[in-house]
Amino acid sequence: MWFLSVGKILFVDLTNGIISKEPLAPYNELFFGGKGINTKIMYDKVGPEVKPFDPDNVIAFGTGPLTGTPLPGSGKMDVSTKSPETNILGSAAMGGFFGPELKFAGYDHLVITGKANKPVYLYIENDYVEIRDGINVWGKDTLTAQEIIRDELNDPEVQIVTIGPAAEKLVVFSTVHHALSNTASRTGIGAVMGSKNLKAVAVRGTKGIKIAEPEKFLAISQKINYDIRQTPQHKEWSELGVTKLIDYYYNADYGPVNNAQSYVWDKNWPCSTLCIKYSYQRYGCFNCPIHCMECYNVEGVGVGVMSCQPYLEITSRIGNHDYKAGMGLMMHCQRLGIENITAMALTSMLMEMRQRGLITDKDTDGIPMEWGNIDSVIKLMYKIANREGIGNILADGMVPAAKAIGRGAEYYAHHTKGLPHYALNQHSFVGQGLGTAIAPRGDYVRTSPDLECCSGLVGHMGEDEQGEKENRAYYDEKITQVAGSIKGTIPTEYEGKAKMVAYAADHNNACDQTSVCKWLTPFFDMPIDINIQAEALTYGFGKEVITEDILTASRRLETLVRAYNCREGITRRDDNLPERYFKEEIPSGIYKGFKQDRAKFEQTLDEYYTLRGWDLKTGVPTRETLEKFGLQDVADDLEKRARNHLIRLT
Amino acid sequence: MNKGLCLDIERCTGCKMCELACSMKHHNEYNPKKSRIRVHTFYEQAYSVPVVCYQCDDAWCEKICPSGAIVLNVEKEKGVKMLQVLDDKCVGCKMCMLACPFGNISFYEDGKANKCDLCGGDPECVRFCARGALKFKDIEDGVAQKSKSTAAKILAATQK
Repeated sequence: MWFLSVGKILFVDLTNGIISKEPLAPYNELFFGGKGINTKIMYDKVGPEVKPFDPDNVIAFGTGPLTGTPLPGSGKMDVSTKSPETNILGSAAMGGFFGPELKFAGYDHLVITGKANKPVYLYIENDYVEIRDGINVWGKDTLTAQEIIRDELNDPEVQIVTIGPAAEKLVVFSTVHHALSNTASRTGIGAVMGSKNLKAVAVRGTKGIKIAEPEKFLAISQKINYDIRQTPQHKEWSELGVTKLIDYYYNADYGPVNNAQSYVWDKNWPCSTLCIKYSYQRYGCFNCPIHCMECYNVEGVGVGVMSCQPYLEITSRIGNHDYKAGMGLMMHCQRLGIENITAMALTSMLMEMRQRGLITDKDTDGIPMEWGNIDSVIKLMYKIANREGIGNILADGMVPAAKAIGRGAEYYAHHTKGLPHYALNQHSFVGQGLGTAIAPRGDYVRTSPDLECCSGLVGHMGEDEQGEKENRAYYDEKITQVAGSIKGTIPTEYEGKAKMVAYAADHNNACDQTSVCKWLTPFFDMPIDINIQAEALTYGFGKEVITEDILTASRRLETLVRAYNCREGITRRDDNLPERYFKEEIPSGIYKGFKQDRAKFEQTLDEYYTLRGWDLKTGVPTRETLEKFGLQDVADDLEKRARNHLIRLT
Repeated sequence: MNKGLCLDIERCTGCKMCELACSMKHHNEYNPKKSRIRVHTFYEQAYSVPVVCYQCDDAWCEKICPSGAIVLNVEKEKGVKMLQVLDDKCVGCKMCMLACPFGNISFYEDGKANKCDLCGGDPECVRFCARGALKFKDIEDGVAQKSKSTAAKILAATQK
């Protein structure tokens, strides 16, 4: 009898049109679901011989046991594949309504392989699965495609994920788009769908989810629902999203400016004021009391939704002070299906090179890449989506593009393992830097030691003296507990940071498996921590789950992803940061004069590897560690490859 | 006093918590498809609109039901008028579903008409709505406020 999880994986082979349904066991013995099970499926099916655009690459859509349940934040799911942007494991979390609908249709995971011989889309309605002709939607933007499919299926309630025109042209940083503005955005999963001629997946589910102890599960769901709304942060997150937080970021020199040349932006940058001025409505995911996204209606572009990181990408990163223009740019990106962070990282790289006279407008097809010139950036986005001229070079991703452009582009191309960095300070917030360096997919979305960021914001959040004192005391205590050292509270200090990164990763890996949105966890000062997750899972499954089980599964996942990437050839050498952070002193502001220390950075890597049980020289998980997590088959596999000189274990 | 479910589309975010709460309350499972309240999100405008039984005073469904299974129940002290389905009288003929011009009645495996009855005067969906898009209050409340907003606009226009 399955509770919470449905117990079924839907496999679709697009080459032969074969559809099969397999049991979720034994995958669920190692992981709760979501990214955990997705990663194991990827490890088993997609090895180094398979290239990202080969038909044998797999796309795994994975829900977790809590997806679709009344516990708030249950709209999330993970999407994994082999990334064409980085050539290692790619994965992105996606919110909205697709995950719950997939579960209501009767599947925990949807695994797609092969390649259709013409454009198609997949239609799933409960037990019925069909590969349908996609010629009517091929070429359409991400919102129009969904509309056409809803009309074609004559079903206004079908939930759809789709790719945009950029993914059809295999732009390696194209997105998988869902509903209004939910995306599995980073690592180019959209391009993999494009390479399979798969335009979209439409799901309709009318079955329910079984809960072992419904009254207790409902009681905890209701309690959390109320608790969330009672927290002081709720009012801010739910009406302003992160826009107020971004005001604080800029006050605290946490936002890079002009391709991370400095960290001093407009003081009292009115992100939240502008949000209040221009946004007219809130948008949220399934069963979420925070609805973190803002709705905007931009003249000349139309209606769109934005939240979170992009606010920094479309402003200070590219030297843009015109908030509204930036939002318009974002909406173009969304409709084309172009992932915003990589796109802006490439843009700011070009802008800095032009600033330094390394390239001229001729090199960018006559488009002047001036700081803050949004018209130019929008033109560039369309060039990328159509793979024209300079767009064709950029569409292959940061590493190949920097190589092709030459003239020292590599120095201005800020990435780790091929994935461009978030526009957040990884230069003087050394914990964030470490989190990026060891991050499984290349950016620190799941490995960012948020406690360090919070500590760095104290005093910059418009608190009065008393408030600042309280915040300082709170983070001092919390961080000393986690990091084992008060130095962990200081962004520029290396001591204790490895522990803080591991702590963050363990907690994020938890919600990536159980499927709770990180916004509702302590990551954002919200109550759904791993204790609550354990309690909810206990009532849901009808069998005890303790916090330790969740932590073990989290650590197991971190090691399995690492093993996957090491099998692809990743070593310690790739756990690195841009040369700029070690070479250049920050020119101004709070962290003026600081640059990262290579020896200390390497030491934090040693500390992190030790915490994880990975070899200090290579960063490969040791056999002892893998076996401790029940991954003996992985240990055997890695050893076999080492014997064949494909990788080095030590 | 005349209380009803007031739906504020300026505050609805399309999260569907109301659908989950309703399906659990009346069907003992978390299945938004069995909910009596349905939320529709319009992507072009980025607005979400909840739709649920309007508890018509002169209801098509009540009139057409051949077995008298739909009754208007008035609780004066609570100030509530509810159109309730009596399960033991409902034969599942679906005439009410056909008659309702708003699409607010549905049917599932149990064969009985599935429509909102305000949970007897304490709607579950209202308790779950995080943003206060669903409120159970005097219907007249909203009208007085709207009327005043209109008055304010008229005043502003004449003062220009």
